[in-house]
Amino acid sequence: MTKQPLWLSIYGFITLALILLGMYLALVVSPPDANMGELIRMIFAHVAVAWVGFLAVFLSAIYAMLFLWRGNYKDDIKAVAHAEIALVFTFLTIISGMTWSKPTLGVFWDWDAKLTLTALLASLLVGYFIVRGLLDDPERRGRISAVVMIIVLASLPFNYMAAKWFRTLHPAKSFDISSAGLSDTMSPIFRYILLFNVFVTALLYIYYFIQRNRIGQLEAEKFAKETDLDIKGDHIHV
Amino acid sequence: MFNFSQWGWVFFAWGQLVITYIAYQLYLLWRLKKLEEN
Repeated sequence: MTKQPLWLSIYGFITLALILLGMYLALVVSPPDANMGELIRMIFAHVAVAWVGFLAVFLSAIYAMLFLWRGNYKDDIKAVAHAEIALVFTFLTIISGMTWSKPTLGVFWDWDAKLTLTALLASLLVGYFIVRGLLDDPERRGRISAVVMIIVLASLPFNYMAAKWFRTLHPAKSFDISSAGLSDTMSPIFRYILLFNVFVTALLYIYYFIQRNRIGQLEAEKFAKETDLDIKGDHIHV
Repeated sequence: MFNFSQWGWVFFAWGQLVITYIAYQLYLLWRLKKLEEN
């Protein structure tokens, strides 16, 4: 029943190979940076997990809104799957950022706008799971946690713009897509390695999501069976 | 010249990533296994 399909295993192996290639590019192929030396190699990891974490929050909120709109329990399961991965990537963003910050800027942490907003993002994501843990009724749990996820999404534009609006600790973007077009102060080799690492991290995210979504589905079916709830089409009837 | 201090931080950062990736994958497999058992 729970065996992984062959295509997913193949996808997993391809993703693993590409992650290793991304690491090879970051750790071996990339030249040291003129200013930060070898420490540039951490940026490829940090920016990749940060961007993919944002994407996961965004998609979770989209499914949260879909759940509020349609009441389809599958949307709620997808929202949770995205949220869980968002939490993992946000946690990685914070620790990889701190690890980069200490040797480069001299401190692990400072309550600068970008860092504070990222800490807030992580706290809100933890809050999302606490709220879910407190509610038993699937319908109510789905609705209330969907609202929480929309609040999490609201913090995202501020986080994205924080390094531009508040010039404190966190460096400004070297690679920025804005209304003025693409502003890019990164040399091409760093840019390609960064984008490749973002791409493979996104592939890993999809791999995690497929597995996590499947677990959610199976759990919902099991829950419905145990509690004599009725899953008709896309709805759980309490 | 090989900078031991800088490379130490680099491996520390990438190591955190790799460990977390593996840990989360194991967590997913554990949850799937738990579902199978019940």
